[in-house]
Amino acid sequence: MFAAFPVRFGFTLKTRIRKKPVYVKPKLPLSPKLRRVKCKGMKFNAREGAFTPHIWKVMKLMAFLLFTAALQVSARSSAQTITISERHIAVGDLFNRIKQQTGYSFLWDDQLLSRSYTVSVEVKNGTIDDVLRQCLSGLPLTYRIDNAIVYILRAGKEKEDPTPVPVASPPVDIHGRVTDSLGNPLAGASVTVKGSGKMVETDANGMFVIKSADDAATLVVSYTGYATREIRAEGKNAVLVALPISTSPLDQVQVIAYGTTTKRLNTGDVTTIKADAFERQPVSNVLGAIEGKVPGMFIQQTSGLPGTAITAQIRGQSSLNNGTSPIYVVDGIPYRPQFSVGGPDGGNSLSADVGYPLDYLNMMDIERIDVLKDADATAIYGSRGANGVIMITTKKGKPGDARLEARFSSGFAQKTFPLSFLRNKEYFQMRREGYANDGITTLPIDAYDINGTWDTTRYTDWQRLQTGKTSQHLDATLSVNGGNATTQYLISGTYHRETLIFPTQAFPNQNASLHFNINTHSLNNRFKMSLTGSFTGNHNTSLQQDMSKYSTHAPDAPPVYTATGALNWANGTWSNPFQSLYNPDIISVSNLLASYQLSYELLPGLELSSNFGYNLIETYEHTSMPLSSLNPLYNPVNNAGFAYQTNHSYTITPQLNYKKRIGQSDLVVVAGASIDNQNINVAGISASDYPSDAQLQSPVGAASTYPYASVSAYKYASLFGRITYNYSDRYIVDLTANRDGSSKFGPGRQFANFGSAACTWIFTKENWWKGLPFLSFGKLRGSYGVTGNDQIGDYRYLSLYQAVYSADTYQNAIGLYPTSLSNPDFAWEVTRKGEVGLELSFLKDRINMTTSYYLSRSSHQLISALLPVLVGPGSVQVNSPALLQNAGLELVISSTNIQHKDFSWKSNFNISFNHNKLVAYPDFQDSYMSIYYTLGKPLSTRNVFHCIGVNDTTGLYQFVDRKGNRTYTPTYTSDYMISKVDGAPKYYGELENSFSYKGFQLGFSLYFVNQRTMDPAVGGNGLAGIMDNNILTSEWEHMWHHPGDKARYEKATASYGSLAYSVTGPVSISDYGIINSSYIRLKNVDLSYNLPKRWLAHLHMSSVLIYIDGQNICTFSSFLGDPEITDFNTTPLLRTFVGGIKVNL
Amino acid sequence: MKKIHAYIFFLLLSMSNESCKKLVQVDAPSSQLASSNVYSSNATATSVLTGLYSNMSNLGNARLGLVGYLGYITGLSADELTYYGNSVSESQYYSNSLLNKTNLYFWSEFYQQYIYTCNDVLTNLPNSSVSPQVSDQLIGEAKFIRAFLNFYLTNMWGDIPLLTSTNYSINGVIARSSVTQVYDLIKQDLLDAQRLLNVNYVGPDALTTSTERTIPNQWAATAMLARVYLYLGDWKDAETQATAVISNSTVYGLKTSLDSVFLANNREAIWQIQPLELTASYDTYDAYRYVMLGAPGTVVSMSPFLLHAFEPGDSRRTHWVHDTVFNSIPYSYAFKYKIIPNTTSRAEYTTMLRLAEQYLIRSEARAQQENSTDAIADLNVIRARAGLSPYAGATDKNSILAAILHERQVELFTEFGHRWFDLKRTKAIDTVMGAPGNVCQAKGGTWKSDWQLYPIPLSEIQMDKHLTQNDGY
Repeated sequence: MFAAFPVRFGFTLKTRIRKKPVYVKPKLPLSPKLRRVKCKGMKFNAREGAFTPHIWKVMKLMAFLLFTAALQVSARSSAQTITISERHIAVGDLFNRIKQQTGYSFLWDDQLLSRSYTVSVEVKNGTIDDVLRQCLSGLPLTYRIDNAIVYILRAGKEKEDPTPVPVASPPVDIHGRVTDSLGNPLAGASVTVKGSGKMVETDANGMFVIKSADDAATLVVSYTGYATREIRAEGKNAVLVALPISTSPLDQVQVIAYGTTTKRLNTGDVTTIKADAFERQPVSNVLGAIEGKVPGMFIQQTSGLPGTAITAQIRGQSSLNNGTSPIYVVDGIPYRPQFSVGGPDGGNSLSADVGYPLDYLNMMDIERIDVLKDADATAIYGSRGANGVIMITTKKGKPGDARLEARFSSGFAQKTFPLSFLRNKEYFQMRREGYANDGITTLPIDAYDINGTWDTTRYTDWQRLQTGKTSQHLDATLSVNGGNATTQYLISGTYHRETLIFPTQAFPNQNASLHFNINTHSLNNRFKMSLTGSFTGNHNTSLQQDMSKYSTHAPDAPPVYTATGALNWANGTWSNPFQSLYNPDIISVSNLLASYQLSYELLPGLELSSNFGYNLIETYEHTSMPLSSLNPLYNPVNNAGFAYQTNHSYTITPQLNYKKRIGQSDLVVVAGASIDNQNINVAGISASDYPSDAQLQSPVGAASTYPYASVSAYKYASLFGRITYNYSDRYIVDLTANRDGSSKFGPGRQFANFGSAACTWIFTKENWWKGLPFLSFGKLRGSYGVTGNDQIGDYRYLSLYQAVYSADTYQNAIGLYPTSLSNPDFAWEVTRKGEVGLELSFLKDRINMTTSYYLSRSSHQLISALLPVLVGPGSVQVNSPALLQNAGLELVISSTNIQHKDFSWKSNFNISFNHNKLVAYPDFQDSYMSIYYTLGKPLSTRNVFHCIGVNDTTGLYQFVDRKGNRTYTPTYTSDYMISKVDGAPKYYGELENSFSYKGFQLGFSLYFVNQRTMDPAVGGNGLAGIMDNNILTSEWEHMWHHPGDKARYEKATASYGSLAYSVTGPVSISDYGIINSSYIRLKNVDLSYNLPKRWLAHLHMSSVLIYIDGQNICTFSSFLGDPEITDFNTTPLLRTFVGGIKVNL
Repeated sequence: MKKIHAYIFFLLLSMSNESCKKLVQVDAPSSQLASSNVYSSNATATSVLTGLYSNMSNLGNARLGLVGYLGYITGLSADELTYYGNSVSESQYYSNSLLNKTNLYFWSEFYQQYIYTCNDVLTNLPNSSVSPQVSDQLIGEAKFIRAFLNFYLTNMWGDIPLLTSTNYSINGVIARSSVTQVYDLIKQDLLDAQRLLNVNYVGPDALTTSTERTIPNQWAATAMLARVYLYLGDWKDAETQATAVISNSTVYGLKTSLDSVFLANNREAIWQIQPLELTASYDTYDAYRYVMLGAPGTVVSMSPFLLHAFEPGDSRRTHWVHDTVFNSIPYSYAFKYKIIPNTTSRAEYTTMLRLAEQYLIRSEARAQQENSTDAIADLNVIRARAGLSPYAGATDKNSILAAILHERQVELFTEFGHRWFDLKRTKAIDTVMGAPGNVCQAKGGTWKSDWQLYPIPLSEIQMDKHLTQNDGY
């Protein structure tokens, strides 16, 4: 037997590599059991007890590769010195001692040490060679060191010819060890004797023994994520197999709930995005970078300004009016950054709702994102899996010498989609037409822009003035990572700075984060520990208003500043848009996220582990409105708002994993529990009327203050289990079940059961599958399961009272009043998901195709009951009988089109279709639902007026009423709901290409969406003729000017009381002006160059990458503004370019 | 394998259902209180009633609610006010042309907040750990308030949903109860309240005696009971209850000065609501509504019908009505509440019940019982205070009743819908409002008898299919 000790990864091996191996002259004859093993590329002649020179070259090369990264620092790292002084110690014990001091493992054949040798050793600060030479000198033993493993061999005649190998020898035990190409042991690798079905797994040190094997047997060694290798044992009893990492995308590791698998063997539907796909993109929220990369996940950015809303929805809206957002799990810990500070500004600030998912997670710290979609992947998250699960794994330490990575990038961003507004001449003409159309012949006193009050020869391009600045980006990251075989670490720091496109440099957004990770395991590899944490400090300074909305100011509006530099109010004739610049909204967020994982192998195959997570998010928001920014004409008072929020949560997830190989099948059982607690505390003060603007930084000093506070707690508990049965990598069945409880439900309704079943058939594994040799992999999978949703407010089942807010008290006592009705009866919202998928790979996995079809139905929708107000205060949460369906198709094709030594071209393409439908609702027509939705149609279908365009005689929008008559005044009671429009995207996806030529790499991605939107010129902006409501030249050209005009837009009007104005209400919710706003966006271009190694050698650098990355470069669409924002009043996504350098020491 | 099974079993056992439940139990948020905690102590239980009065008195609710708005809205509907504003819904009340979609004034406030709160108190207090003395007082207050509100609801809407529970699944599908059933509950509630309420005025702790008349006591329940019996035509009981209040002369008595009738805690007040809005520029919402400063909010003046109703020499015409001129147009406005702008004086409280009404109730009850002498005596108490000579008209029942109706018009104008309700219960409404050239036409409408009841809000009927609409809407 091999006695084995855990391997410790050594730094010092390099110093030990010599031209010739060290071995003591053999003295004893070879054991007949020692045989010769041949394997590709690496020969190990056991009979000689040493490597042949050829093999030695290979070993040297490997060692070189191994420590390339470590070259610079390794000289400094301390050599593994040993101090030992023992008399008459058993050799085995001595080896133990050496192991303790060095971490080196010892490997020997039990027969060699069957005699109990005792030795005496006296070494002070010696090397391992010194010790071993001294102790083995008198014994019939020699040794060889390889990758921190000391092989104890029988000393023999080195030069002696090998004894001819017996042709048919009796069955033998084959011993061996499986490592990765760096020499790290691979635990749990499977070693199969070809043809016999005999199979073993490697232990924690990568060791294996196959008993009674045919000594000519061929071993098939495979391990998840690594290429499978075949080795002929050929009469060796010690086999060393190094497995290279698989290059097949099918062997890519996928993170799933409470575990990992590979794309090849996954029974569920998971999309994996790795850091290299997003880490160079200059976006502040990682969701912005992966937009389009995940089929079925629709990401919506609502503004181009930093810190504004960005949301993700997986496979359509599955809930009527409660949370449709997926859950985020960071390093196994549910992460809930979605909260609203509920700022004192009444929600009118740009970022009143701070905390969009992942805003406070540094993108540079993310290693990978796995998006779980179908029932099989998500059902184990039960209650929370209905909307999909986004698993985020942060970067971890890896073995090797300390590696330093430094990154620096800098760049700029500018507003896209400049709009062409009318200049003075047309603007004045539009205004005059407006008055003429309203029958007003004398210009009123407040028509400042055209009645001569303002200087009509002035021209200001408001759009350019207010949003024309270039935003500066700066990013720097420094990370160090390394470790040995048992302990690895990573420390990384990042800084990000970004300025606004508004005419101020006063408010940069800054972000600094620290990320660390330590992993360690015991020498016997049974105990493992991993600690990962990150701290992010985010200082988001923005304005309370998006200045894009002021682009419509009259082109002859007054200058923004007076001669003295104060804001110009022009005698109260206008509202100065630069006022916004003095009304900042500052949000500081500190986010501490820590995850601590422990595991212990109780028995072979049985592991007990637990994950402890803690998340603390502290937010401070401060808004201020100084007197100096307010028009003195209206006797304003200055005011400020202060809000503090702490959001802390912890999670404990103990779990048992059991793995068992039974014949040709693998059984994996996971059972565990999860406890999750979240507490949110909010306190704030609105303060106004300070004697001086200088006091706005603090609530103290304000004449009037209004405090508010709220607290909430959320608890969640889950018991879960999963059984995966894999028969010969051919048939895989996966069953999950869990029982979840949530504090959001009342007593008796808290718990519910969820589960899923999935099966996979890898038909190309079938022996009879010979038909299509070009099809290298084929998998058919199906899953069905039940998931839930509890994304409603806390305490909805309780009847709550709160204190009366008043500046005064009733008889000097504070009153309480009820704010909510009690309803203990509502329970989980349920989504049943079904999916079938076909995954095919062609030409040795060079082309991979995945097609998934899913159908999910959500019932027990959690809604606020539609009750008469007489029942009491607040709303009542109930489970609605509405049945909602989402069905869709997703297609992903990735291919390596060209793969040459110097040149390669790879493409990825994905496209998603989703169709949402309200399937059933009892007594639909009589219910309130019919006002908002249509049975059999998507939820996004809106009931609207039917508008037939502009009447060419009157120049007004015309509608058709319920009776079919034309009207200008349709009524909401009878003429609404005649027509329907649907704004949901029909399909979306992305095409990515990447080319590499020698050190150069070029990648670009095209994102496309097919959608329809209301033309903003009809919908929101259609008030041509009113002051400070400039319009686009395209609107001007297509608007009604004279009787007989076949116009798209109605005539101008200057009065809010006119009929032309009143029709803008219904037209904005009509079927008119629905235009195709589909687009294709060149979302990202990335060009990088890896400096040649030979240049770097004397710079002591292992790699240097320089790159240029561009974001939102151009968009092809018939829509005039940003088709993703579809609103002219909001800043579109910015076009950003950064250049950077990444240096690895 | 056995060992493994044991481990898993152990794990599952440790997570048994009971301990699981604890894992998902949360305490009520400390910024709010769960209903169950509210009724666990005297302090929090009394806060609920304090909260109720606070909300009645608070800005928002009060401005468009019971305290600040009910008298105004019913005054618009009746013949008391002339309207100059441009609010669509107020115009509809004024011209008696309400639509079923007009604002939910009072309906939502009364039901959603006050009656719900009363029912929550009545559901939770009897089994609570609140001390019996406090509990009795609080139950009494809740019953009194519920009766008070139901009285107004049934007088505005006729048959109404009669809510006695807080369970939305019962209330959400409730049908209307007949006026008789509503009055049965009102009577029962008031009798209970009369029995349970403290004989003295108490402070917000529901225990200590107070000089403030801001929390209903036994006499408030008695006074209200007198009014209810009067409305029901139960003259004898009306007289008995009114007499009980009037004879409690140690506590109650008519103020001789008309300018003192609406001051805080005056001897005439039986129940008052303390104003809460210190920063507002008035003490009471009545002042805010009626005192004409030419400023926004003063969009009514007293109607010519009301102005002409005052007899010559009636000092109420000079003390409770103020004449002014804007843009050379003369206006007269109700000036019962005088303090504006506010000096944070709290000199005036909104008076919910006062003794003068009790004299008029007794007078009417006696007249109906053919006791004209005592009826006239009571009437004369009120007339004398207004500086008028004793009643000298005919002494037949109908004449006295007509005199009492008239006296009520000029004594109780713009107070809590008295005029509108008097017109309805005395069946005078069609004559007053509907006769050609009469009130309704003068206000720009056409009278229909159905319109003496307000429409049930349309959305309520849509949400609760068991509710029916009043005729004519």
